[in-house]
Amino acid sequence: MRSGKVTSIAIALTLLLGSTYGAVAEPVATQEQVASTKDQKATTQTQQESDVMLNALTDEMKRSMSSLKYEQHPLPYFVSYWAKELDETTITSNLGSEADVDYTRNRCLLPTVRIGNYDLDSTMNGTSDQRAVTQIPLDDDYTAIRKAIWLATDKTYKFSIRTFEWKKAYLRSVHIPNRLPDLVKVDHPTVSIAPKLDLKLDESRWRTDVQKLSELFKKYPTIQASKVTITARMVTNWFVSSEGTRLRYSTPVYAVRFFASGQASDGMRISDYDVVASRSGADLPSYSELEEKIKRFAEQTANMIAASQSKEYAGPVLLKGQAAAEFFSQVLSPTLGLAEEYAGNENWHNPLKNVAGRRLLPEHMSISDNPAKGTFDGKSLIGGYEFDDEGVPAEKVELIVNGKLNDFCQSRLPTHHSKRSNGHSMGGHGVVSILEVSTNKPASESEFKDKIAALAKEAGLDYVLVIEKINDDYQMGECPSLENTTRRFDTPSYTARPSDPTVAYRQYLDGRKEYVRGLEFNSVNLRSFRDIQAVASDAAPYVVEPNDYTARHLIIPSFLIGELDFRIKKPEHSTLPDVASPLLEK
Amino acid sequence: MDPLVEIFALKNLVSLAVTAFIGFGGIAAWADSGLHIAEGSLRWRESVPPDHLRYAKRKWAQERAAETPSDAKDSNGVPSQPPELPTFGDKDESPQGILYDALPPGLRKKKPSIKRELLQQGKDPFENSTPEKSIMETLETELKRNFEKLKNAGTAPLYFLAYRLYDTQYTKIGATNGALVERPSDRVNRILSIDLRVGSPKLDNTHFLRSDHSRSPANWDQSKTKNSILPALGADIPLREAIWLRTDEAFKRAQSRFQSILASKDVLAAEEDQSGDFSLQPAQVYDSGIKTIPFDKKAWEEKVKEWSKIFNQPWIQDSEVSMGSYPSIRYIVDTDGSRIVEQSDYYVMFGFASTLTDDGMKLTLTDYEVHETPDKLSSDEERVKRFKKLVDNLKELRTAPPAESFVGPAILSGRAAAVFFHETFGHRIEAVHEKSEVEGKTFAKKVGTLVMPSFITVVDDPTISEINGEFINGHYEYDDEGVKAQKAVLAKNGILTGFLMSRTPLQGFDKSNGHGRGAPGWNPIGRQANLIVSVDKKHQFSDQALRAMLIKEAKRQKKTYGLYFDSISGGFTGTSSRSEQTYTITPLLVYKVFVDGRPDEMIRGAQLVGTPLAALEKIIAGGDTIGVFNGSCGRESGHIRNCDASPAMLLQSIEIKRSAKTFEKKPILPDPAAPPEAVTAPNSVSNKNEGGK
Repeated sequence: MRSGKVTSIAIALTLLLGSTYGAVAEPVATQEQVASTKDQKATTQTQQESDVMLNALTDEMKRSMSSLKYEQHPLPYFVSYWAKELDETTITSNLGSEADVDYTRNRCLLPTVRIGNYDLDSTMNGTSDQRAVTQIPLDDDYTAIRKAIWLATDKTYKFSIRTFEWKKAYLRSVHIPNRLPDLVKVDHPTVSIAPKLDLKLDESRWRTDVQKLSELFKKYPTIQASKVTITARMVTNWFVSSEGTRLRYSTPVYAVRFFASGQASDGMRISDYDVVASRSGADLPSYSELEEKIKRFAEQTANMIAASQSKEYAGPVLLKGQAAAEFFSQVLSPTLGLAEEYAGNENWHNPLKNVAGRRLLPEHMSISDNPAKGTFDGKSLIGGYEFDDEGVPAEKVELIVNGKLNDFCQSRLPTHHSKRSNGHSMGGHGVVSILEVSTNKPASESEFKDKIAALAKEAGLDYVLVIEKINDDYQMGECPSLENTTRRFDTPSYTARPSDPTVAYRQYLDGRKEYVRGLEFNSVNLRSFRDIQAVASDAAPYVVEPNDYTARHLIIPSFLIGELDFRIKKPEHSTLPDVASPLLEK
Repeated sequence: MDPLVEIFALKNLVSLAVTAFIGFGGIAAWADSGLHIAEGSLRWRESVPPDHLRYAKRKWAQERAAETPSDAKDSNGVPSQPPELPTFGDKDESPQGILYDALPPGLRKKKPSIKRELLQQGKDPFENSTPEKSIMETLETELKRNFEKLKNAGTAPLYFLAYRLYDTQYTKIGATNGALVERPSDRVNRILSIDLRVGSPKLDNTHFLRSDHSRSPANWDQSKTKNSILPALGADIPLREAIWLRTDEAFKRAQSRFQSILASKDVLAAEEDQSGDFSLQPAQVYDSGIKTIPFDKKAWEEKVKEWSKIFNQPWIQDSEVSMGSYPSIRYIVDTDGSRIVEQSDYYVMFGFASTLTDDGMKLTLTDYEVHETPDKLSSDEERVKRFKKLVDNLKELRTAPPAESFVGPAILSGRAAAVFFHETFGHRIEAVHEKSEVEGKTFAKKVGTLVMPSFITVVDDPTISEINGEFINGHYEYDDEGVKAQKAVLAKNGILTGFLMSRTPLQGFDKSNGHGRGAPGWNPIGRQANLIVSVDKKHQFSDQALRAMLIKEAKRQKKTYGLYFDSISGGFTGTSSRSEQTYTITPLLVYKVFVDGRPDEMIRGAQLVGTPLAALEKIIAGGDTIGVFNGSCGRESGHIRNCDASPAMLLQSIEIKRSAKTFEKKPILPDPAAPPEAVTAPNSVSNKNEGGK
């Protein structure tokens, strides 16, 4: 029943991409075969055949499957290649400096060679190659690309032989109850060849805009350091596997990133980052919208620089907007991914792996994850995908339904919870993508206020703490790539300590608002999510960037938690500069 | 970790990545693929410790890596009086002096000067409004403002402040097997370096802190760092803001470090070297002028692609041909009143190919050429010949027998001898290695004594840019501390006469001789630039005569062969007191020269090893032609360009050891691109050999 669902989704997604090629795998004409193939009907098929990269990958994959064998060691039972082309332009300016434009263009290859079989193979921690990233030629030169693929495959195969032998010996000597297979078979592999897209960026416009935007910070002399950067990136992916998956798709990302930093009167460092990101340049805010956003950001940072040092706090907390998104992303999200341990890895344990059905949130709240969700309120979202990095079509997963844990994000690595991928692989590991937190009982504004007042009163306070932002430095890099070769994953845990609040204030019940600085979260327990007292109706997407280096949107409304506690930062920091800022000179 | 010194051919710079740098004293491995000084020296800071950035993800303030103090031990010695220096006539300072007479004809050529000497009083040397003018004005504004306000702001007075700003642009065009792997990026990078000193020239914050075993940390910033606010382009407020913040940081660091130094001096025994920490100098004003050198990227792309096909052989595994362009401008202002603008561009044409022998030894050969302008590089025909020759050599090398350990006579070709001198002598006359308490101080007390055969003279002369019409890599007009480049006589007729001096004095030597060098962002120290070795006429022999002498010496020692070291990739040596005072040189091509008249035999995997003082004494004779080795050298002040030049040398005895294997096996499947007849040979051999085990 479930495999039927896979097929239909695969077809749907393939059609969505505009491919005329069937969803079910068919043998692909390789360069060697092209000459004899006279009746090429489908446009896509022609495109595919003229795609040098796809041909080189397919040919070497076939050769490896049929002849890559060393002595008594077996042929691979599975080979896949993921090739990526990165085309990126970055424009940077600070305080109105002449814009610095930086171009990057390269290609890399991630080969996977598995020996053994689906039940027991050569992978360690879900991968065959320690995610080795190899540089391959940028030119569409079949011979040169093929040669690079050949050498990378050879290395990976030899690595697989070593890990396979080690793994078999390890399994003979270690008791692992209920060991799961190493890979779930894909019965209906997807074939989808979407057009390769080119990077489009109005460079001269953005040079001017970035320069003008960065100059806005000149009006805030207490901000010592600031910078504005726009990154426009087109990543074209080619994926082929020996099971018949064949994909080509391009993923654009456009992001305007800015940061500001200064020192409070006692020297404490206050800094903050922000980003707006989308799938197309046209989706980015207009200049005047960006100007507004940056002014507000600068003002907020200046407010935090001028804020007084907070005291320790324990009590109700309103997590607004970005802070709500970061809180979920940093504490709960890691537990909604891979719900299994790796053989031989003692550090990885998901505390929720055996508790499906348990309550994690109030009954009115649910969480789903849908990598294929393209837009929210007409605006494009980043971080999602049509196919995960194992070439499996993305599916929407209902992770928490009516407050109860229902499912996990799965890759092709089976877990005791489920034996099939739902298209959430990142490096062979199930990971959340575009998470959406929702409620079917949003509180009205007055209900919200009443709740706040009641909670404050109960805690003996005349205010509640409001957190608007939690620190995330939005590096907006591409991973894996030649620059970022390996990922880390946030380890699932029952407790976590979110990064520091960067914008926080006391909201007094009489309406006053007082910014406070220097707060740090104490450890937050998963139980805190059941303590959500009210959820607003302001759901919106915010960019979050976990340690796996992939920035993505998380859709969430603001919410109120009954009690969280905070400590204060150690007051040990540099003093203020002896010389005044050049900005203050007359 | 012992401080190791490495001189690498540009091959290593281009082809390999930084794997480890351990603080300033411990350069441990490969140089950077970025190769140009700007990125080459600084990228490691972002990557050391290797996962530094990743783990500091949410802590932007920690993005800048902390300097790792050296772990070398203190050695408390007895202070000594400066030794009497031998005096030589005025001739030494003259280009026509005895020294230059001893060099082969046409050896030395002064760089054609494009500079504008601007020492006239009252005249604004930067009167024309140019980008360089606004940058200099900005640097000066912040210099004056910060110096004025900070000089008495701390416990210790601020007595010297200098800003060095390096504007670099990096483009590399690389191709493998006929296809581009890297497109020209024109990546602009700016690096700021702050030299801030509190205390006095006699003792300041840059003094070696013995209690922590640490050198003074570098105060730097670079525009390409993610959260740096140093603008990559332009001047005025954005640049001033960045300088202001870094100066504040440097000032605070300097104050606390100076107090630690004072306390450390109180509780530790006196240092052997009692010289001061800095020498002040009269203001220097110089502007080289800024010119744009034409660089036709499209044409180079085509050439690079075409030439990379030469290495497309079934038995060659990795290969690349690349053309790198590295223009750079350095601006210096300091509170001595110096104002210096110097442009220094270079271009590197580079090729490498590697193969794997049947027994798992990876062999790599390189061919590269450096010049100040791309049009002065060898002709295209010559390039094709050179790369084809590389392929022939590599083919011969992969079937050559492996080296065995050996002690006996050897000839080092000019290029090999040049590197031999760089390691055995050059690094030991860099003043810091004779001053610091953690150093071995091989030559500290040897001034005026014979340290090598009396027919050898060694100078270091950054003022020249050509030898025998060949471009040499270590030229500059002013060093990184704003001192005018000068020729330094280091050993005259075998007698040690001086050291490579920065503005940090050494007992008996209180002034810089224009060798204060460092990669952008690093603290300069006395370094080699153009190290030139010469042999007096009586000891100069032709190649044939040297060969005959080698065979005679081998017979006398009852050896069946002597060795000939043709080309080398680089070397390294340790100079610290904790390290074994040895050197290693890694040759590319080595031949056995048999005493019985058999043809020479190429060997692979030999490394030349030994101890410097003993090795220098073993030189019997020299050649009559100068060999030039243009390379890049890594040391406590980063990777810098340099050149070593020497005639061939016959050594009575050298020692070689086998180099380590990689243990790789050849690819299992044949090269998919190779024609069927070509693929059968190496792979059938490979499979048969592997299958037989």
